Amino acid sequence: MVWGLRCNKCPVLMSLFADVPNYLDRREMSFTLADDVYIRYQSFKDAEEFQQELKKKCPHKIDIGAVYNHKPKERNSVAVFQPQEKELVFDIDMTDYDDVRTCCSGADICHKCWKFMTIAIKCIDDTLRKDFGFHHLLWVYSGRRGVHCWVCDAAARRLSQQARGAVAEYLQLIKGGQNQAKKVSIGAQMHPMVDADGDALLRQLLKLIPDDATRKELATSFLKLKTSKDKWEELEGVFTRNLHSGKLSRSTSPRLLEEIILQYTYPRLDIEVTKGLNHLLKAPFCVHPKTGRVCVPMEARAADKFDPMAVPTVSQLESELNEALKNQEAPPADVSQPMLTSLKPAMQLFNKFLAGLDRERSTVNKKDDPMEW
Amino acid sequence: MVIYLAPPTGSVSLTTIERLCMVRFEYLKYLTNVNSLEEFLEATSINFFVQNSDCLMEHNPSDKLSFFTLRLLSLQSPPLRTMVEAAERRLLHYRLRLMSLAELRYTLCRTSARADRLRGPLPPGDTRSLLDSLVSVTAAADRHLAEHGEETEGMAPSRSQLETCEEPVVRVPFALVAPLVASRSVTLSDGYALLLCRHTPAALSCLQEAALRVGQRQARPAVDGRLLPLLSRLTSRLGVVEGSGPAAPLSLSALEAATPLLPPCMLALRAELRHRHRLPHQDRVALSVFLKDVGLSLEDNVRFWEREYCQPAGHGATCSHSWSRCQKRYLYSLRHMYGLEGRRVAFESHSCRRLQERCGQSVSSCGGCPFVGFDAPSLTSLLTSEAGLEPAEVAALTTETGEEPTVRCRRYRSLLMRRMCGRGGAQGERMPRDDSVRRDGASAFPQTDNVRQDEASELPQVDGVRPYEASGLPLEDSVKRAEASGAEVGNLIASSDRGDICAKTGLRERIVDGAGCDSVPGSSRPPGTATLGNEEPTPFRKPSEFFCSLLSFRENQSTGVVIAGPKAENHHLK
Repeated sequence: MVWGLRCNKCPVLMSLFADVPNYLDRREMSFTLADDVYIRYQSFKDAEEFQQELKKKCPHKIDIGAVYNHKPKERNSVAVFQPQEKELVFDIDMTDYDDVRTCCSGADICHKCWKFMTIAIKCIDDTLRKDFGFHHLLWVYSGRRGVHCWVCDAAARRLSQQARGAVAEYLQLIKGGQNQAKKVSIGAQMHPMVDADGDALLRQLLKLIPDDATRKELATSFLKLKTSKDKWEELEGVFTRNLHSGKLSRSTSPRLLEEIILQYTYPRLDIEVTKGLNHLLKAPFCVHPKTGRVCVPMEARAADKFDPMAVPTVSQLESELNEALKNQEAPPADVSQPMLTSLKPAMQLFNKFLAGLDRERSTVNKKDDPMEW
Repeated sequence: MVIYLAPPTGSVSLTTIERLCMVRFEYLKYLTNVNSLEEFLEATSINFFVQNSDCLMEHNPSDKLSFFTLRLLSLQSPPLRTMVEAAERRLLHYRLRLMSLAELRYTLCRTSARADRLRGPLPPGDTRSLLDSLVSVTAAADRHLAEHGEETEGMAPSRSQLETCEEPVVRVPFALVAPLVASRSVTLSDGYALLLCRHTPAALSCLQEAALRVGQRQARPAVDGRLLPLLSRLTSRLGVVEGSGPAAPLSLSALEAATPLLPPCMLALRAELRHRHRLPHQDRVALSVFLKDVGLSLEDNVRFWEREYCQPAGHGATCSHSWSRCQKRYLYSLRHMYGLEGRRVAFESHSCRRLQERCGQSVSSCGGCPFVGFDAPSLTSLLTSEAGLEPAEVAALTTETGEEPTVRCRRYRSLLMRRMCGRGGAQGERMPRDDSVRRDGASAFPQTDNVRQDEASELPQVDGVRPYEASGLPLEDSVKRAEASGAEVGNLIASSDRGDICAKTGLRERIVDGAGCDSVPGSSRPPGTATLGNEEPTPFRKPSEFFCSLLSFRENQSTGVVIAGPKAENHHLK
């Protein structure tokens, strides 16, 4: 993180700037220090002040919040202190898949269950671009067990809390906590957005079938079948047969099979993260305190090639940099140091993202909306 | 015009503004309990609304004046704002539903023309975008309705034809029709929502809401001082209380002994905590602030969590924190809730409405309102194993009756109260309704005779009749009574109407959850104080109030004291 901050052209901070006066110093940031001490409402007038504060406080984590109507540091000196802009953000956490993954649970992940994350990234990325017309999406690995998505379009930043909630609810197909076995209900018509495991899972799967007769029939036939594939085919056969013969109870949806598939595979979001204008999210390129891995940007379209276990750790980067500097005659400019390490692809991706944002900013009309009707 | 875009101009007396706003406010509050077109139409038989209908009829200047004034005032009070926004949305919905095709086309044309005039000088921005969308939606919808008329050879198409028509009409930016997007009622493409003919009323409702929000953003933050008394009366009528006051202290041991009296939402969290010794973050916050609000001291609250988090996490727990590693964080968090850290403002416990809205938002959550977020087997299991209810009692509470979740919860509370009285719910009998009827029966409206003497002569006439005469009381008696009770201005209703309202509508004062107003007159009493002694307990808007009312009831039962409820006229006036 420190590497990127030694120059005013720091790409990280460029992302926090806009061509609006006093934009950076109205941006809220928060630090998490040692012993979990959390300091909110930090704001900085420029990169230099930010860097000095970082060196002084050495935060373990940095979160980025909204741009307010006044400097967050001086919020108590104004009568009205409210957010004006904020990126539309999404947080997908692997712990939300604990009821459908059998390989890991809690904070642990592996390549097997990471596939859920890959599916989630592709679904959400696709929907945000095609349905909502957003273009500037930055996907960031959270460092341990999830991913974040920052939608940085100007239109997205100005969305009201209600509109953010609407986007999140549009994407949220899976509704229901631990006390709701069946969490997906498609309804009579399949919305176009929607229309596009192990024995333990199948036991859970049976709970999703409201029709008593079908459930009992399957519970018996599953005992004779060995593989998940066979059991799924049996479920399909029994359900389709009962559906066509009119034997299903009225409470059973004719789209039950699709609902089951969606409940297991569809993205699971933390809706509060998206809705709240007051919510802060971890900054890209932070180091996760528990794993040491850097929160690197990733390409959504290449999500199936992303390996969370291969993300560099801070100690690995340190070794790589030391090795690289040994072979250099003259030390390079600070901003290029990440390029000498495994962070290079992530930095290139991030620079490409920022270039896209710059192009948008140069075309956006910055005039204020007059207050007269 | 049904969708108002620009405030009215001209001069009007303050008294008139106050009267119109109070009438509109009462009407909107009434609408928060309306769930069908039939109930909406019943308002037309209520004298109070009929006599003051000038500010309740679309296209009427009084309607417009009261709309904008309430909008302005609601900026000063978040609960008032929530209620007004939700109720105005409902009002527009029903108004549109009742319109004939000709009336609908007239409304669309007028709105389109007005929006077109307003947008002319505006540069690109949120306001311009809204007006552009309003013009395109109303113009396109009007064209489409005209085509409907042609197809039916001049005969007006039926409402059902319009309500099922799948013809595309127009595209609008998705942010302007957020409710339709949230429910996936529209298809989206490249940031635009495709509106079909049948979406027209809903889209107009969304656009009015968007216009309301834009207007609120543009309004000056400070309200004219002359309107402050009106604002105070409105918030008082809403039953808004700034903080519900401290509950009587409750020890940890007393809390454990009173576990069966916990509301179902907290009972579920308590059960999960006992089982797995961990709770997801939001659920932990909800239970912590509940414990604070029911009187647990900070030290006992800390001890409560320490006892659980010192134990290893049970199988299936989503939280991996432990007390030894995270003690400081939890202690800080609890101190923050008690107002001892950060902004030094104590947290309020979550309302029933908030818990109902939270249901389904996180797959790892085990909280929220069980009557909303639990499927039948989970709810049955909770009521059977944790609440110890009999099968018939459980069945009565879990059977889908279409009742609001808070009503079902009140029936549960009634059941617990009957048990404490030694009268359990009889097998097969329907659980008693806990309608929380106020003693005077006129739960919705203030009294007729609250007229200040110096202003009595200033009151506008309604149909040639002075309002104080409508009460049937001579002027002097009305005024004297008003002086004695600390009067209000402009809130007049014949005493006969009070019973009339309840009889005709069948509506009783119930929790105004649907409109988003968490407060009900009567809920301003601090938790832990005595409730009515005749098993008509005060309504609750929070789990903490549910629990405290049961604690009080139990105490009264054990001491044999029957406490008469406070007089109704003082319920809602501060």
